[in-house]
Order: sequence, then C-alpha cells, then structure tokens
Amino acid sequence: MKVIICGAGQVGWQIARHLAGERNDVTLVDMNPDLVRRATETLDVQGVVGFASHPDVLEKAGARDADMLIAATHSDEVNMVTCQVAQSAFNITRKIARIRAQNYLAAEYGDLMNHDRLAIDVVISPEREVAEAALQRLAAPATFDTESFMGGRAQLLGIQLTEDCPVLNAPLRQLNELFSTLRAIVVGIRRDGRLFAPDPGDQLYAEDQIYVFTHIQDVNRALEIFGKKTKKQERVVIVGGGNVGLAVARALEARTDRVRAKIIEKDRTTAERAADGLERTIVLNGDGMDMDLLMEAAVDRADAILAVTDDDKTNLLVSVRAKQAGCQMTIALVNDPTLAPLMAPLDIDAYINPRATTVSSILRHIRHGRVRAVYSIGDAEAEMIEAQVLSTSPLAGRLVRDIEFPEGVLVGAVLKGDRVLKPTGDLRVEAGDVIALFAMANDVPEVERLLQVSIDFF
Amino acid sequence: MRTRLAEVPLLVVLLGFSGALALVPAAHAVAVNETRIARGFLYSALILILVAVMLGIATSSRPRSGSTRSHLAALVGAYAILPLAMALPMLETVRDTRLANAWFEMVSAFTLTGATAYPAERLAPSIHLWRALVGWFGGFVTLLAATAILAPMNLGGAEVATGRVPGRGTAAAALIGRAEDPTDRLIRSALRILPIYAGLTLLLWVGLLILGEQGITALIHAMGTLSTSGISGPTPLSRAGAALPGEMLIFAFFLFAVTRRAWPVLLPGRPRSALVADPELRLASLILVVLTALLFLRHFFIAEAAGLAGDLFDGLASLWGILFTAASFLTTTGYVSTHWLTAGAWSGVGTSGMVLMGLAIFGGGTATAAGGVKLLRVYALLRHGERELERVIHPSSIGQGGAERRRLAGEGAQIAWVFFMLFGISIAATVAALSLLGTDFESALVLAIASLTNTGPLADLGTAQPIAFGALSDPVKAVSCLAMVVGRLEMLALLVLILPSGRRS
Repeated sequence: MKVIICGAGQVGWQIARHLAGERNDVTLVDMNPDLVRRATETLDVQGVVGFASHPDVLEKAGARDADMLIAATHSDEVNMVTCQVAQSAFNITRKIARIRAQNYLAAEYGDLMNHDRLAIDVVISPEREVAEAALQRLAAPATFDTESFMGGRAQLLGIQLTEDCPVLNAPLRQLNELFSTLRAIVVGIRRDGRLFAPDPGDQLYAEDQIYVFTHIQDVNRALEIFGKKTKKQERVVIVGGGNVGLAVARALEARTDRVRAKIIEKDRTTAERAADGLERTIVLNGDGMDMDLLMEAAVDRADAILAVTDDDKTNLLVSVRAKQAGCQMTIALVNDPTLAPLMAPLDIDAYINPRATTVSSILRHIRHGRVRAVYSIGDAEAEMIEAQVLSTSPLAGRLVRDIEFPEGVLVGAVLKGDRVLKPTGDLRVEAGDVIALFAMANDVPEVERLLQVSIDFF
Repeated sequence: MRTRLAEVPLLVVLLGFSGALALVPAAHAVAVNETRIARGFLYSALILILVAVMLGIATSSRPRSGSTRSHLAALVGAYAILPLAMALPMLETVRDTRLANAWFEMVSAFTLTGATAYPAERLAPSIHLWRALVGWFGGFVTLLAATAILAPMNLGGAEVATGRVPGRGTAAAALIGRAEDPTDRLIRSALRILPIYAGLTLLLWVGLLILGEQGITALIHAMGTLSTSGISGPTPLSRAGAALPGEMLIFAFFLFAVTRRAWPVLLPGRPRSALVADPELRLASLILVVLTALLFLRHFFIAEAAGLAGDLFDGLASLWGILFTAASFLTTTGYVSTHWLTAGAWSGVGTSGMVLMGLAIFGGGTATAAGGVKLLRVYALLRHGERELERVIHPSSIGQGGAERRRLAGEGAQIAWVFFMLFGISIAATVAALSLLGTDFESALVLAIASLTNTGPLADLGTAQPIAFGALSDPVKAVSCLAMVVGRLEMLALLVLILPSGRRS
C-alpha cells in the first residue's frame, strides 16, 4: 500500500516508522529538509521537501497512485486543505487528518468533514484522544491497563491479583459455573513474568497479573470478583485547564454519577475560558505546584489527580506532591517518552503519552479494513485483535468449540448486531459478526489466516 | 427642520416642547367647555413657545459645543428650569395657588415622583391631564437621557455592566463620538424612542378604555404607568372602573419599568438575549414572589388563628393586591391595588408601608423610567456577595457564568456599591435637612425615601398617617424637590458633571 504522510513531527515520524515496518510504501512530506533527510536515513521511507497542501508537492510525493494520505502537520488548516487537495486533484480514497481545534469538531457541524465537503475520512483529535485515555484511566482505578473495544461496549482490564482476591486457587472452569451471568472471561495470565493464554483448568494465584475481557456493564462486578474494590471516583483534581483538562472536566460533568472535579490553571485567561466552558466544576487560578492551592483543591481528600499541563516536569512533580499529600491515585501527562521509566520510582500510578495515544489511534484507523482494532499487550507479548468475520473466513458459520484455534488464542467476546456475547462452546460465529481475539504474538499470523484478512486487508 | 433643531441648545428645545405640550390640555378644556382653563393653557403654551423660539434664534448662532457632557449639563438644567416654566399654566388655571405649590407639583411630575400638593378634587380634569402629560414627558426625557446621554458617558447603570470608571466612554467610544455627533445621536434616539413610547401608552389607554375606565382617567393612568410617575387623575386607580382586569393589564406594562430589554429598540447593536434570562427581570420576579408569599402567609396565619381563613375569594384577592402593589412600588410607580386593603380587612392587621419603602429603594431596571437604586445594581451586589462566599471556600477560584457576569460581580459591583453608598448618604442628608426644618423623624424618613426614589405615593402608605404635601412648609418642599431631582438624575451623574472641572485645575 502506498501511503503519504504529511508532517514529520513526532506523530508523523512514529506512524511512518510503524507503517514502514509493515512493509508499506511510505512517503514523508515536510517543509524541513533536515527532518526529511533524517527520516529517509533512519527509516525505510521516501522523503519530499515542500509545503504539504501544494498540489505539485503532493504529486511529487506520488499522490497519483497513493492509497492513503495522513495529514499530521502542526496546522489544522493545512491538514484540512491537504485532504481537500488530495481528494479533488488526486482522488486519494482514504484521508486521515489530525485536527486540534475543538471548534471544527463541534457536534452541530458534524457533517463538515464529509466526503463531499472537507473530504476527511477520519479526524484524529489529539486532545480528545488524550482526554479519553485519561477518562479510561480514571474509570478503572484498580487496573494497571485498560482499553475499550467494540465501540465502547467491551473493555479489556489488566488486574493485579492480591491475597484478598476471593477466587484464588479455583480453576477457571469453576469460575465460569459460579458466575454464569458474568459476561467476562480471563484471556491472559502473566505469572513470574511469563504471559500465557489460560486453559479452563488453570488456577489463579496471588501475585498473578490477569487480563480480563468483559462487557462494559460488568466491569465493576468483574473487578469485585477479582478482589478489587470499585471505589467510586468522586473527587478529581485536574491540574491544567487547557484543552485536555477542559475536555476531561466536561466529560466528568456529563457523567450521571456526580463527580466533583476541580481544575487548577495557572494562566488567568485560560482559567476563565475553562470556567466559562463548565457548569459545576470549580476552576482555581494559580500555580499547581503551590501547596496552598493544592490544599484549596482538597487534594488530600481527592480520589485522583490528573496532571495535564503542557510541561512534563510540572506534571510529574505535581503528581508526586499530590500523592504525598494523600491523594489516592495520580495520573500524569508525559510528552517525553524517555521519562516513562521514572513513573515507578516516583510512585505515579499511570501516565499518558499524547503522541503515543495519537499514533495508536491513527494506526487503529489505518488497519480499518476487517481488523477493527489491535491492542498490543505488555511488551508486544500478545495482541488483542478485534475483527469482522468474513464469509470466506473458516470461522464463519461454525460453533466456537469446533474452531481449531491455536493454543495461545482465546475468544474474548463476539459482537452480534450491537449485543456483546460471552463466548461459549455452542455459540455460532457467523459472517458479519465482530470477534475479539486474544492472541500470543507467535500465533498472530495464524489468527490473520483464520480471519482471512491478508486477502482483503485493505 | 432636523438640522435646525440640532443647532438649538437642548434645553431650549425641551422648553419649546413643554410649551407645545400645554396645547393638549387646552384642547381638552375646550372640548369640555372649560373656557377659562382652556384660555390659561393656550396663553401659557403660546408664551412658552414664543420664549423658546426667541431663545432659539438668540442662541442658534452660538458655536455648537455638542459634547455629551454639555448634553448632561442641559439635562440637569432641564430639571432646574423646566418645572418653573411648566408651573406657568398651573398658575394660570388653578385658583388661589402660589408659585411654590405649582412648582412643587411640576417638579414632582417631571421627575416621575407623582406626589401632589393639591387634593384631587381641587384640580379640574384638564389640569390633571397636564400633570400626567408633564410626567409622561418626563418619562420620555428620562428614557432618552438614559439611552443617548447617560449610556455613552458610562452612567445610569451602564457603569455596572461595563465595570469602568463612570463619566467616561471607552477609547473606542471616544473615536466614534468624534465621528458621530452626540446631538445627532440624541435626535436619532428620540425619533426611535418616541413612537414606541407613545404607541405603548396608546395601547394601554385603549386597553383600559375597553376594560371600563373613563376616557381621560384611562389616559392619565396609561401615562402614569408607562412613565412610572404614578399620577392618578380625579379618580384613583382603585375606583377608576377597570377593576381587576385593568390592574392585570397595568401589571403587564410594569415590565417596561423592570428591564430595558423589554423595550423593542432601546438597545441598538446589542445581541438580544432571551427576555426570560434577563437578570433584572429574574431578580424582580424573585423579589416579588418571595415578598408576596411572605406577606400573604403572614396574613394567612393571622387570619387562620382568628378562624377567618375560610374565605377563598378574599384570600386570592388579597394575594393579588399584595402582588400588584408590590410590583407597582418596585417599579417606583406607586399605584395601589383595589385589593391592597383586602388583606388587612381579611386578617385584621394592616401591611406595613415599610415594606413598600424597601421595594422602592430597590427600584426598577436601569435605563428605564423607574427610579431607586435600580435592580441591576442590586443584582451586581448580590452576585458579588455570592462570589465572596465562594471565595471564602476557594480563595483562588474563578467565578462562573462568563466574562460579563464576572465583571458584574467584580468591578461592576464595586461601582454599584459606590452608588449604593451615595444613595444611602443622600437619604441621610435629606432626612437630616428635613428634620432640621422641623419635620418629625418618621415623616422625614418617608419623605426622603419617597423623594429620592421618585415614588410619591409612598407618602400615603409609608406611615400610619398619610403625609399631605400641601401642608408642608415651603423649605421642606424645596428640600424634597431637590431630593427628587437628585434621585432622578442619580447622584453619580451629578458628581460626574460637577467634579472634574472644579478639581482638576
């Protein structure tokens, strides 16, 4: 597949690396010759220096026979025009644009990005993605990893088992019988650093890390069964009232269970904008590093603090400070990926890397074909793959128990229409269903064969 | 005509118009065969017009100063001089009267106070019409001044919304001010306001006529409502014949004294937000509902204890009486409902006039014809208080509700507070002056508040014994006239006019 990526910033660079690694024909377009040269030297990509939205530049990048264009320059407007040019002059079928300004994305102008208007197929909003990631983190405080699947109807939870888990030493088969209405399934266990897909006869032990694939409505029940108190997140402090903080606060306000959020923002104008965009949330103006201000936000009684300013160091220090003051959970936004190893020594519960979030959401859209989502578990040890079952697939029309899955593959759930079903032996997989599979890295090619995605991948 | 008018000083133009207005009662007197009164009005009208024309000719060659400040000076001058001119027809037509009484009558009408020095039966209907007309004209001048003179100078309530120093426009406004002549703006505003003001008055007049009031009485009540002067003709509202439906109609027209947003055109270029969301209207509704409920429940429980609460009709009627009268005094109009006394009769205890004094101090909306502190200022102070309470809990928090509301609760409230203090000081000073002149304290207080809030009928209801203005000594009348003018023009505007020129040198 031929892909043009406009903008060789962190996001463009990462995507280029991923796509080039998957043996695609990638062309990178950027104004900065140094960046382009560095990219062509280190990655297996071609480079074109020029202004992304100019038709001649796109033509030079091979727009005539390109299959996809990803516009990830710094400017929303350039990204939009690039997509428009790609549509009108070169008829590129798939166009993805990164758009930051929330104003373009407001619901009342929802059809602005239509095929016959701005001609953008997929809009990636980094702020929105980051806010979503933050919310997911907040929603499942007891987990160490979480990702949603099937359009938000199902959730993958990573749970660290402890001594107070009530179902220790019971075979999984027995769990299934005990909690027959629970729409959740253990798809992976990591014991002594080794990840494996469990058999029905396997038991759970303390200190195991398990991955559970569950219906979204059963998340809390699943957490309870595995010994995690699902304490409601009632008081949340957000440091940083920019787009991300505002988006998170808005989402918290929109929730039906009353979450009391407070925002701390240093810049007066930004703080006022945040206050105007919110109804119940209290916005405090001041430095988030100021202990008095943190106490004013009652950080010592807060269930979680979310540090989402644009400065990594502030985020880390605020998180540490809040934790010291007694905050239950800390989540920090970290732009610099090299800071990630600091999280454990600093006792920060979770971190969000906005660029990684953006890259993974763009990648998810690229793999749109039949594979609808891929989530890499652990250090690329396994993948959670969500895919549509084709009529040509050997899965179609067969009972789950009759399908010869490799040893390291488990079915997480099956989506029929808009109902998420727990996989049982006598569930019939039909063409058009969406199936979520846990697959150990070694078994991924076999899964792809089963899904017949290699033929219709794009 | 328009350019000619623009060359003549504002004060002279207003003088000419008040002369022309005197032709209306002259015509009425002719129609009812009161030749002597007709002659009096006609001659006065001709004299006033003649004087105005001569003054106009004499002053038109003067270079036009044409600044907004000079208009403000003319406005103050109008309140000093016009009542004297308007007293001329009164002197001509009312038998056995003195200039002091006639002047008091006219100041009271022109400042929309509506207090009268004469018993109603002593004046002929045409003279009542003249009082109402002067009040109506005063209402027009008030609306015009608020829109075209005070608002551009950041006065008259605009200072609360903008939060800037009163007496100055913005830099941008100054630029526009140079491009656009204030006199032009004045004339344009006048031409825009007059048809609506007159049209609404006509509408209310016709409405009252349909509901059963007599011709001239209905017109006087319509004028009294729209201008908030509260002037009644020979018959008070409660005996005018329109009864409950008439009161309901008038109640609806109080809206125009509660918020300037109810007026269709007074706000050029401002986005029209929903009337329901208007803070002044909301505050007025809240005040009225809470107060009516409190007063009604008080009556209800007393009546209940006495075993008289059974009569549902009396209860509802007294509820309406309280609501209408409260609204009437909140807008500083001062009409009293037929059923105001029903509540008292029902439960056996009267309602204190103190409550009405409080309402009159709140006042109506900014840039309307109402007087008092004005609802917007009270609203700003309330918001400020609310905000301060918030800040006790979260000292660094940011106020909710948008930039406009933050400004209102911050700088706006500060200026509102300054005004409130000035108002309080005015009350104290007036009470002191009246007491020095020998009035007893209670009457002095009621007189001071009635004058400063431009709510003449307070004198009847504020104390146990109604105060007869006619029986007051001349110095007392003069003090209360001064208080009326101060209340009408607002202390802040007077200070802005007086202070800079004297203090800067």
